[in-house]
Amino acid sequence: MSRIQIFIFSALLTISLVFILLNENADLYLSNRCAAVLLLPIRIYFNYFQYLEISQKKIDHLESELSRLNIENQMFKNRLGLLSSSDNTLSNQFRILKANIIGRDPQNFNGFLYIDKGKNDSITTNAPVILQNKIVGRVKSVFSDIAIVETFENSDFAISGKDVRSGIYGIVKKKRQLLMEYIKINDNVTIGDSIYTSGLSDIFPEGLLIGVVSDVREKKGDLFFKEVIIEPAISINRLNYVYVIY
Amino acid sequence: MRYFFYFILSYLFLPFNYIIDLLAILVYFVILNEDDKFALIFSAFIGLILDLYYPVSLGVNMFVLLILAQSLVLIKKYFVREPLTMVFIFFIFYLLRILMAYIIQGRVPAWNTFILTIIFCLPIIFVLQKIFYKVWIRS
Repeated sequence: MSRIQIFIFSALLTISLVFILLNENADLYLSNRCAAVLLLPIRIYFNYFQYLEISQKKIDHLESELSRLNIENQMFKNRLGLLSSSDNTLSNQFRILKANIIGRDPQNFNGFLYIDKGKNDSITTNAPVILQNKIVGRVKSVFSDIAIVETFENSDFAISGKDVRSGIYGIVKKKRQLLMEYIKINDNVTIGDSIYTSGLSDIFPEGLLIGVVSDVREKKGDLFFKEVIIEPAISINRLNYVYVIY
Repeated sequence: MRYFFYFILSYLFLPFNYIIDLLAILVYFVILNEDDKFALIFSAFIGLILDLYYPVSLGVNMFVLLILAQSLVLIKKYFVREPLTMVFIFFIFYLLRILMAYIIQGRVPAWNTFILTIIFCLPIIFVLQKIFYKVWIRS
């Protein structure tokens, strides 16, 4: 062992013993002083992550705001006559909350989603669930911290829809495909028409996009109605977050 | 340059040190592979930042790591660089480090961290050797 090594070891050992033997006040003072210098990189490192976390919260808030404004915008458009005029009272009193999808029903993978918001976040049963201004479904059950969302992919789900171009109403329901039912043979619904929520519902506000008509077929043996197939505006199996209107 | 990376690594490992004692593994690695004087200074530095980041009693970790580092420096030329021996020596080194540090502070050792550290010691040493010396095992 060289002399330098012995000197380094003795010096460091003395310093550590001095640290151990300091009284509480001196210990605290020295800790603060040393930490301010030696832990500076850690502080910078954590400040950066804190900044990212705050930014993420801001992004979430802005996305919620964007969704709300999209819906409002759609409602204003409806009022201006892009959709047929309606006397529904425009309500902009709703609030929107972002919720992450934390699970799916293995029995009905796209039919039910589990989200990370619940009663504690003021979510109630039947609250509409959307993404941007597109319909996802409604809250089926609520627990304290989670909720179950029934999506339009579930066969029991039905929603009143309206063809924007022709103003024709129908019921949108999932069978083998997403269908708009009760469209008469001579109704003017054609491929490419956008289908929005009609507002004839206690649950869903008017003007949420359901999808676009992808095919119109005659139903065999049905003299009155034709089959209108809708391509949904969003793919449920690609979602990882949604917005709940409450 | 390598010394500089050791300091960067120590700051990267520090916040996660309560899960696996990565700093103990790093100190062990430095003692085995680097100059004795640097190993002593580095051990004292790691002890000090541990004392500051996980504050219980200032100087305890510094003291313990310094004593253990000096002991390892003295005996390292007598053992072979072979995985099992390295793990065994690390086990002794880390057990003493835990016992001494916790006994002085009068606390119960965190055995979960101890077990995880022992399990991950060899893979981490291999990775460090690959990073710093481009070989998995140095003989």
